[in-house]
Amino acid sequence: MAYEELYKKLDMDIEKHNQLMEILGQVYQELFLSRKNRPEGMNYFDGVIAEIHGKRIEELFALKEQGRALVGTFCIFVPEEIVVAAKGACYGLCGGAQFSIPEAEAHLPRNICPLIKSAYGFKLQRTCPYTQLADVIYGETTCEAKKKTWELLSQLHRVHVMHIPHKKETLERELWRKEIERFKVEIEELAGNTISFENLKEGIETVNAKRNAMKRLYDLRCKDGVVSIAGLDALLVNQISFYDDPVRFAQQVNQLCDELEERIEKGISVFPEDVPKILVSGTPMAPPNWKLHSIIEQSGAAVVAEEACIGARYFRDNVDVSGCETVEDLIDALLERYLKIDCACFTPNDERVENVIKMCREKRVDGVVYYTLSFCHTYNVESKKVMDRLKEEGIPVLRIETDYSMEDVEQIRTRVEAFIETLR
Amino acid sequence: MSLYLGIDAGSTYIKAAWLNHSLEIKRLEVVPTHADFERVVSRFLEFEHSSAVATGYCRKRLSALFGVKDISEIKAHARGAQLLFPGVRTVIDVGGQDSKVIRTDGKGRVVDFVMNDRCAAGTGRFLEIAALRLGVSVEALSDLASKSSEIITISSMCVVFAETEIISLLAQGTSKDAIAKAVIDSVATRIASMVKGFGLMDPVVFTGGAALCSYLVERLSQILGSKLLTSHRAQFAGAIGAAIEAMNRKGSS
Repeated sequence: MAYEELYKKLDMDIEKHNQLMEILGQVYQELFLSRKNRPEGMNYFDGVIAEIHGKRIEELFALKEQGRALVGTFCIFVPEEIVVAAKGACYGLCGGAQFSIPEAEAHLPRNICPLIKSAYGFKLQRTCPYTQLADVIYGETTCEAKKKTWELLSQLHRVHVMHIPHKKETLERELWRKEIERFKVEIEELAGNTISFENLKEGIETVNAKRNAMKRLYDLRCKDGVVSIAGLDALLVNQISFYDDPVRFAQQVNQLCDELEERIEKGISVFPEDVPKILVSGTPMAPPNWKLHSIIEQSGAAVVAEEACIGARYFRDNVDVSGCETVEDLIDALLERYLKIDCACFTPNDERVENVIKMCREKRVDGVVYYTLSFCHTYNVESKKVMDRLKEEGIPVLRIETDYSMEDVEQIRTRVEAFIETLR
Repeated sequence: MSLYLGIDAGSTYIKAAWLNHSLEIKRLEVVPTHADFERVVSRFLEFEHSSAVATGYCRKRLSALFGVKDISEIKAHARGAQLLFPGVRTVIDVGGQDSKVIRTDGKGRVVDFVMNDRCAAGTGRFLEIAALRLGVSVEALSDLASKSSEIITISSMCVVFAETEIISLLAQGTSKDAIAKAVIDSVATRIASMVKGFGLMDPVVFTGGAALCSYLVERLSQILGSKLLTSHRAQFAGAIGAAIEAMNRKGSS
């Protein structure tokens, strides 16, 4: 194995990790590489996946040796701009696979969400090189299960917890500003130097450019009736945004978008003209969670947008640095941007409902699949409000609650097929 | 005379229906689903038919094996229920593995639907396991239940725990009649909460294998405050719907 030495340095369970990669390789071949009519620009992203525990880990390891901060996260609330400003790397940690759940269930209750169990299991198994590499894992308080799991995780790895407010009033704004400031101080300590105004502005602009590229992809994946890229591929690009180098990633996404523009002009669609177009709304799909998208697209509909943290919630809003003259101004700008996040952890959270409707109109979807991971109480409960509002608008919606296991794939397929039949 | 064949390959039973071009039901068959269900299906396919469509849990397998087209059981049940009970607006289907509520437009087209989540509570499986524990058939379970006036409840929603509960009730000397009643009440309550959350529109038809359990239909009618229509052919609604689809496809091709 090419990276065995590196894995040893990271104290990984190499044998178990090999099993994981073998499964991943098979699934990827079946769901991605064997599909026809994919944009050529996907080659880069296929390469990233092929080297997801290889070259990228080497790059990050090199950064670590230069003393740069490596921060692992599970939530789009962690202000990555600050880590980028310190020339470090901020990335999402593994948490999307059934593979690590059985181990996790030895410590954690079964009835909490699979994302948390999977992530915790990867640490127990020592099979995620990103987790192993992280100087610190930044947890947050978006839900009860996460909050308490960090206490257990901190016995295995260095963990800091950001206090995410659950309302958006004056008190909570102050709390969140303090949390951003504290985060900055901690990253500076890790990196061993202070973050200047220029550094922070540059960090923000780098991440803004990445979000702009992703916004462009969102606009182009389905335009003028042409589905220029499969939903699975677009989801993959969104997933990779949490792992890759932000500058290189933005370049590659823009290059892909150039190709998609050409496809739209020539009318090259990956689906027949009358394909039903679906918005998937709800809980995030961490790789390799491709379950719902693959079922929907195998059943003859196209996923044209994701209203989720791995999706539009991540790239919809940018940090406005215009008029900023001091570090404090930039922190204010970060504060403004991050409080636009319409996560279901907030109460009330009516913006989200309106954003779902707005996205349905923007992408002219035929229907919505409301996706919730089992035991994700916030998104689960909020489904009623979202679905009621969709029905009011006359937009058909199907609710799917599931986890990472494959045992219910056929049941879900039945529902999805029947739903798509009603859209035709 | 050409016949159109619909096969509903469910998790517990395989149902087949043959219709003629006037939508008259000419033949119905039902066989338990087991390991060599493929042979059963190839036997069905040997009977006269000009086209066939599959539905049900094993439809993809049939489609791969025999090259027949397939449709979801939601669509099939809506179509089948419309033929059996013209003008139906709500279809409650309780099968071996899942239960679903379908709203139709009164002409057999699906408007919306809901299915239970990955759990045997509120499905035919619950009835089967209870019947097995009591040493009777599902039909006999219904007869026992209708004889009892005792009110006891089975509180476990989970089939596995409910089975334990049944055993402990038996150990306490509770009568089989009362247990049968409690089991069916439990299934009825579960289905009713799914229907209420979804919304009920008359007329309502009850389809699927559980329709053979007349006490369940009676209880559910009481809880929902609406007379559920059903018949001895309700178990075949999915197969009938698939046969209608076979005819439509033949006609349009």
